[in-house]
Amino acid sequence: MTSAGAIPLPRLIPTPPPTTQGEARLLRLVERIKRDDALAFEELYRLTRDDVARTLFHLVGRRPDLEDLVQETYVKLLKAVPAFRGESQFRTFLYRVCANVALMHLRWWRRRREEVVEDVPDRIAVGEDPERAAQAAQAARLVHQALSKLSARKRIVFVYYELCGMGPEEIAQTVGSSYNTVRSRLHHARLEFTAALRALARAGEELP
Amino acid sequence: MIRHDESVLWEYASREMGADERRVMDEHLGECADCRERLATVQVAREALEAAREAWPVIDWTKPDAAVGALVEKRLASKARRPRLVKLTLAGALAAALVVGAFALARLEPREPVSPKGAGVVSPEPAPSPGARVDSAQGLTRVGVQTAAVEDGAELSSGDVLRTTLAGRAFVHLPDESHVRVAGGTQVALTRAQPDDVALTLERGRVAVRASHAARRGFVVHTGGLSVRVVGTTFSVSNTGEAMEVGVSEGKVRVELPDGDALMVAAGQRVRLDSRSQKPQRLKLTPALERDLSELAEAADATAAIEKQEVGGSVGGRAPSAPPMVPARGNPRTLPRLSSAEAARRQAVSFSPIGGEAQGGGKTLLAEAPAVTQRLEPVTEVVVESPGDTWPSMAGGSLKGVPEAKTASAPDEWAQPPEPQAEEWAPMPPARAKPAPTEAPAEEWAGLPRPAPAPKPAAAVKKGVAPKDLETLFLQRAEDAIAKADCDKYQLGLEDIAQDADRNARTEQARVLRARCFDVQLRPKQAMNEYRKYLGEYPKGRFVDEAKRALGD
Repeated sequence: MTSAGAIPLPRLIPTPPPTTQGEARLLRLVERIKRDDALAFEELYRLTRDDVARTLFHLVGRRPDLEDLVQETYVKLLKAVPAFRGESQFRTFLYRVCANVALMHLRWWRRRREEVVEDVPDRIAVGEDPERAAQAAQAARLVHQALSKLSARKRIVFVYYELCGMGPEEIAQTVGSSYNTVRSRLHHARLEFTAALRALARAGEELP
Repeated sequence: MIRHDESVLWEYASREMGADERRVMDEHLGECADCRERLATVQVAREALEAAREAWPVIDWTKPDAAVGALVEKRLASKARRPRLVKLTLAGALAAALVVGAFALARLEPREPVSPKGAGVVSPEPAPSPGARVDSAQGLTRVGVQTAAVEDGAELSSGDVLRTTLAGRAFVHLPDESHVRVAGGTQVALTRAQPDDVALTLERGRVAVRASHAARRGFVVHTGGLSVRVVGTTFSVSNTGEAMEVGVSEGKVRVELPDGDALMVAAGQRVRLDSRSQKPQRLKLTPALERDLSELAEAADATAAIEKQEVGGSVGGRAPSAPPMVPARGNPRTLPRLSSAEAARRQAVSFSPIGGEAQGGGKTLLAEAPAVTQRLEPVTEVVVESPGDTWPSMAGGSLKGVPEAKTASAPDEWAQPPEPQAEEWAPMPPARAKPAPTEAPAEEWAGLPRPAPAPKPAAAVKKGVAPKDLETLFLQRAEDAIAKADCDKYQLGLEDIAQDADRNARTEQARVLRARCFDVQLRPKQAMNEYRKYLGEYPKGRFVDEAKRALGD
């Protein structure tokens, strides 16, 4: 048996103050939204939509309805913003909404036994360097295939830690779990992810 | 046990271990081949994750933009009707509202939610909604996953984002019979384009709006956090990045400030809002601005007159399929322009019923205007100026009457040099920003060989064109890529060709393609710089007109 507590992951300072200009700006916008300033919400949307889309992309994989998820995230965000008390970074709060939307859809798809659809056209932005972009696209496909083998909760923790650069403390706030739970999920997710990659590699070798 | 070891390998590969643990691990790895093999697997996994971080999904923002825009508009509509000073009369107003509400419910069976103010204004049985339409377009594209050129007569709908090239123009007919003239170098979203509700979001550039007096819930133009609601008047909105200004020449407007407060600005007044202090300051309307607005109103009235004549009293007042664009007497960038052939064609078709002589386009039209204007309802004009920093060509006194004087004597508010816009708009930290396209200095690339064309499907090459050489093929592909707004990887190659000492048609084309590419990439400064270079290198070239239009000359 593995002890999750054995993983010495670095702890973050709880609820770090907003140090970046971007975070401070987002908090100002949130204050305006709380005062019923709808235009502030539109500005918030413009500032964060790329990040939300990218996060959802990793959380749910290549889906043809990614735009719908982005839209749903902001509808939920507008309803949820009055409950934001500023005790965490706004980014954490936003990712929590993303996680809830992703969790709901991952479970829904799993119930319907929908796998990541293979025939979804490649929807990955091509950057300046085509070769690098192609590598990124290929890696994303591989990673998403492996991630599809993980449970929804483990996948969310793994994506936030490995792809979004969040620490376990922040993830714990985001997903509403304890620090130890996050560490445990991350531990298992890593093992399952490696096993899934290994299986994919074997399957690739067996192909003619 | 194995599982445990593998998690330790993840920590090792992720550098989550302390120095001592790492040293012990190094020693163990030196002895254990199995662990080394599994570490290699973990490292492959980490490399895949590292590469996957660079991947960004391609999103068609049309739908989310429209949905969020509608959400915002709904909130704004409900908020704008809410009185602020209600403490003393709260009980009475509440009672009155209940009585009115009960009365209305007893009489009406509304099929859809009706806004408080809209109850008396909006038609309970809306006519089949005619969509927005592009009456005339030049260098206009619809932005989205599939950026595509927009032709004359194209239908538009809520959520569409339109973009004009620096040398482009467009004239858009809105469902509420209002008209929008989109200037060059503009990006504007039709957040809501419905017969009873119009909202535009100007992201950059300039639009001139002639709002009709049709019954509707609202007509609003958003730009840079400022919201300007049409009350029925002639006014202008400018945004230089440092400050935003609203000037009114007729009637009054309601200006909603970023902090939630609202101001009414009356005729002859202007309000200046400093971007940093966020404090509004009331000022007098400058004579230059007043003159600009009156010219604009005159031109708009003329347009309306021509349209009414063309419609010939058609039932419902539906606009003609291609209403004429009024050549401006003032700055040519203020109003859309027609090519001489197009102007002649339209005059032959549209102006002849009036009886005026089709000789100069604008003169004829304006000369006819006053007589017809008497019969017209007043119209509302909104002019929105974009932040000058984003589109420098817009900052130079766009509304000045005399083109030569626009940069020299334009009022400060129209001519301030732009400040670079903020990093504040960068996305949130964890998401890695997409690598900004870099443009190498010219000399650095002069000596490099011709670039190999980027991989491209063979079908992309125009049929029937036999490429003479690699450069021709490259130029063709670059042109195709520009049409799809995905031309970044061609820029260096184009510069290489453009710098060829032996100037010919290809070097000329390369220079123009570079400008167009920057234009579609929303990098106006670089685009205009390329156009300037073009005019310097090819003063009598094939694309001189395009370059001059882009530069506002």
